[in-house]
Amino acid sequence: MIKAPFRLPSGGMIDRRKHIEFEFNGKAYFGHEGDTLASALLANGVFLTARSFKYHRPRGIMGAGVEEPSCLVELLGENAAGNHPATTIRLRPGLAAKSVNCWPSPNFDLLSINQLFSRFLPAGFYYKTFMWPNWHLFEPSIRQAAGLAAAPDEQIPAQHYETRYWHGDVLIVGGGPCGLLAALVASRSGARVMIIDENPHPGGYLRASQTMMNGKPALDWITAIRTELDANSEVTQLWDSTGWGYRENNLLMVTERNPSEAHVFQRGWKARARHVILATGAIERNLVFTNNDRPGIMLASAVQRYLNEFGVIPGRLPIIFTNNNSAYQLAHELQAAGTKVTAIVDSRPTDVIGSEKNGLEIPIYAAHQISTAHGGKHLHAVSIHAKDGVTKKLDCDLLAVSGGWNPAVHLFSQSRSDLAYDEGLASFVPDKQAQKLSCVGAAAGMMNMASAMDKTVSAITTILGELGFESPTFTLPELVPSPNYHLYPLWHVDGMKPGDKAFVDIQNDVTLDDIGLAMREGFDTVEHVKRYTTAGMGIDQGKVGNVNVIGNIAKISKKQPGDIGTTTFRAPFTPVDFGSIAGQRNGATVLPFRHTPITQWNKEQGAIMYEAGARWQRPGYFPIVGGSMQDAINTEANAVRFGVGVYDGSPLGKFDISGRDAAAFIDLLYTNDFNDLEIGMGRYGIMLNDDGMILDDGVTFKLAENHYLMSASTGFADLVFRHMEYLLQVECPNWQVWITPVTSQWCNATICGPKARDVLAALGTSVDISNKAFPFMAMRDGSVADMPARICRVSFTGEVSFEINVWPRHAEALWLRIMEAGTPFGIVPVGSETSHVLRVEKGFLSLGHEVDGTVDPFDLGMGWIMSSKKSHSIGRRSVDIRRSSGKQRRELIGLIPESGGELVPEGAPITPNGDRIASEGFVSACVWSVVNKQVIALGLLINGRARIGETVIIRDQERTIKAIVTKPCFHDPMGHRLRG
Amino acid sequence: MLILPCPFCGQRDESEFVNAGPTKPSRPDANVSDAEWVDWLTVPENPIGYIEEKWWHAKGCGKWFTIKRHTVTHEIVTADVMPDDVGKRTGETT
Ligand SMILES: [Zn+2]
Repeated sequence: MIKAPFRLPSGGMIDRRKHIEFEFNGKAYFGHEGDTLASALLANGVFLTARSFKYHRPRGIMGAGVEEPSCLVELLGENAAGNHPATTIRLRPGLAAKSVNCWPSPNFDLLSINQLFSRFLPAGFYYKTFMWPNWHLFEPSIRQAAGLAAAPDEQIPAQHYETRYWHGDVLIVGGGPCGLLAALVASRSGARVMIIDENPHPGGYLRASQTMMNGKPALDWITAIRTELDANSEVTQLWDSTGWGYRENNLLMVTERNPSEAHVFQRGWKARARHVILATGAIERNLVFTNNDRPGIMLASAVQRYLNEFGVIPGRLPIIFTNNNSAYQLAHELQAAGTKVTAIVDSRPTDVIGSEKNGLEIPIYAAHQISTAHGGKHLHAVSIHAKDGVTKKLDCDLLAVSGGWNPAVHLFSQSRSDLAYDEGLASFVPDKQAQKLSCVGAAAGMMNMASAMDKTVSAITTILGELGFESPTFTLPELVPSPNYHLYPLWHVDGMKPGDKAFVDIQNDVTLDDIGLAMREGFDTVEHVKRYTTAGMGIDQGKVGNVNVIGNIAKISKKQPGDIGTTTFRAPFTPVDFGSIAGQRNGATVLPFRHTPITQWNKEQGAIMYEAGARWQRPGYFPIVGGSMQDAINTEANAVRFGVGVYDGSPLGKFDISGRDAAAFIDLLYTNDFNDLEIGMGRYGIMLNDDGMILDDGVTFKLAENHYLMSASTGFADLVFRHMEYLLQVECPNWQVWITPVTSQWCNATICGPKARDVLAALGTSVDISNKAFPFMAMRDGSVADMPARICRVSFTGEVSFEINVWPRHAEALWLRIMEAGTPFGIVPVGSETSHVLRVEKGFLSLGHEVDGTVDPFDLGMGWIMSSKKSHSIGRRSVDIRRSSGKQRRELIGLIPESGGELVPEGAPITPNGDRIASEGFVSACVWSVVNKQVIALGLLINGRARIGETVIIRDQERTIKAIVTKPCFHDPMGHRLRG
Repeated sequence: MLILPCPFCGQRDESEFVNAGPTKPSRPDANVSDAEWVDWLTVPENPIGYIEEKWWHAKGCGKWFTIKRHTVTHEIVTADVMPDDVGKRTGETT
């Protein structure tokens, strides 16, 4: 095993006894348990790890956590995933990853030629290029060149995602010093507490630095708190978990990445708390100077974390470049670790540099700036300049930069709370809360740990009081005094020239030049600059760069950053697997299928099963040996027209409606009269929405006075139920009407065709089924094949039909008896495809085909159903107003396409002369008619009823098809057969 | 996602409910003008501030109810069991 050259001989929080082999860009390396992919790569001296998004410039690792703007990788093999920052991937055995944005490798990237053409890829490049009519010429090559990682298409083997809910008193986001303290105090009060942190171990800055508490390493303090929290059953600790979304009513969306249960890949939490405490810390900013993206240039806070958490110093000759005093802590710690820092370049003047420099044996270049970094694939020197213009070149292989700190206000802002600009921090801080939440610690802009912890205590004490809990006793840890945070903003270094590659957004390759160009072209608000330049639109969402963008907009427009404001912070805070949002709502479990008792029988017959609306599974058709789908449909349709068929009509929506005002309610719903309906008889009706468009149609039987059985379309029954409940509860609350959905309480087998009566007689029934005793649209209760049954004479096929309704427990037995009794008559089972053919031949309307929310009964030639005696039915007024306008409307017609026997796609437009212009109608349904032995269709056509006999032209993409307009009925127009 | 106060079931998650938009004024009488009818039908309130709206506890008790919600803060100030647009329909039998 090769020794990792940049790993210190001791220190860090990794387990040095455990070696982990992993692969990066095809090469094998070793790291330790506790490493991230990034720390292991740096330990191995792998500094060139990526290519940039647009220019394919060489890039390395800049950050140490979620802020990482530079090194995105694609995970390979099991659990493949795209576009993860290397800094957030825990090293595990067998991990294999590769860089994104480069081919074949970051060291030899063919697309790096983009660097030479960078003047052709300016701000707004996408908007300027992807313009009609030629955008499609550029798109494929741009996609390939700018391609991030591909989405995985395999399922995760043997594991799944799941969702869990949590409701509690206090939810703390962030397990740094202030978050842990808040959790400790809250838990001791008896409150139900959740604390989450995105890192595998809590501690935050305490793990990334050499902080002492009570004279001992801060880890001891963390361990003591964790031990106490572990023992408290009211406390939920989620580590390696990110709170990525802040929603209404204090709902936090949390993804737990490594649940302890082996079968759970990730767990999405929907956590709601009475009070949320955001202890999300702060994120360090980058500094803007020429070539500030070279491998070897890192955030000072990241270098500090690699040193303390992973025992890695990713360079031999470090230089620190800062505009504030926080980076001096890194110098102290590097010095203590035995690495000599070459220099500190501080843009602040000497007189403001205070106690932070005490004890450092390092040259400090006060009032100096770095003008440019040198080196291509790795940094080897920097040029610095003083205010008076004197320049100097310093060798280095690691540059730690600090542009100051931004409070991590992402969740705060997502909660719709307001931010304010803080001059001292030169950043945005929480201002007014929109929900029950508080910010503590660095997230609240408090950069001094001792006073931040002090303020956390008073905040949590107040919160617990408001929630009705007593504040417990505890002692604050003693900290070594540290200087107060001090910074002078430096939005970019002095002396920049046009064309200098100084990046404000590293991930999206947005330079200072681009910001200037966007503003010169008139995009001068922060939201416009963001969209035009794409600054802040990467996977990192500009965590290290956004405030620099705002600062530079302010500088260019000679305003204050507070006047510019921020762009809107949106979820997710960091990338989230879709799976962790969906949980187990995957595939058919999202909306479970509905089955009738005949499903198993249908499948045994080899039926092709379809969804018939509202997730109901029905047979589409029953394939026949050696025949096509059309042959099967023709066989079934011929049986119904000339012999007998049977279909399972159980999914049809059914409502039992009763109560003192049931008749009045039916009258309100339907446009036609039901007053004169006799008991035992049914009537077809159409119900409208208030806008006068058809909501649904169906047959309603009168079972007794004020007692009805209503049927509704399979796919629209739920909507009809909602409509009826709304009317009853909201508009007619004093009416006495009860609606019971009985769709699943009645199953039915519908026997249809000229021989239907013979089959029913053969089955044996207690009901007199002669046409005289049992006419069309009547219903009878009795028995069929010795089973209690309700028989209805309705017809959706145009033939004599008996709908035999039985209890679900009898449905399968009835079905088998029908098949048996029907065999001598040649009975066949009929699927949805055939039902469609039969209803098109008859011109019966279908919800979702002819009825699409834009038609009323007149459009369908059913003006007769709008009773002249009723002005009060729902939707009537709107229909009348629309009719009185006299405007031409699309009307239902039949079509005989001259398509040579081929079906025309349903939905195909009809256009005047077949030109590529606005349509004058469309084909709503098209089938092969077994009675007409030709292709027939239904459609809606402008002023259609007056155009019967005309030839119109249907467009099917490149092709046109002539069609003759007919009446919308192709079989038994007088309805003699169905009454027979 | 909101927490909504169902008058029967109490505080429940928004995913159990169906939103039906702002409460409409009472259904107009038959003798209003066409313009007034169309106005009632097509012009919903859309304020920045409190709005009265209808919800249906579809995956719960089935109750239709009214709440007053702030469209910016989502604060819910009242939850009425009985909506105030009761019994204006002509032909009502009680
Ligand atoms: Zn309820």
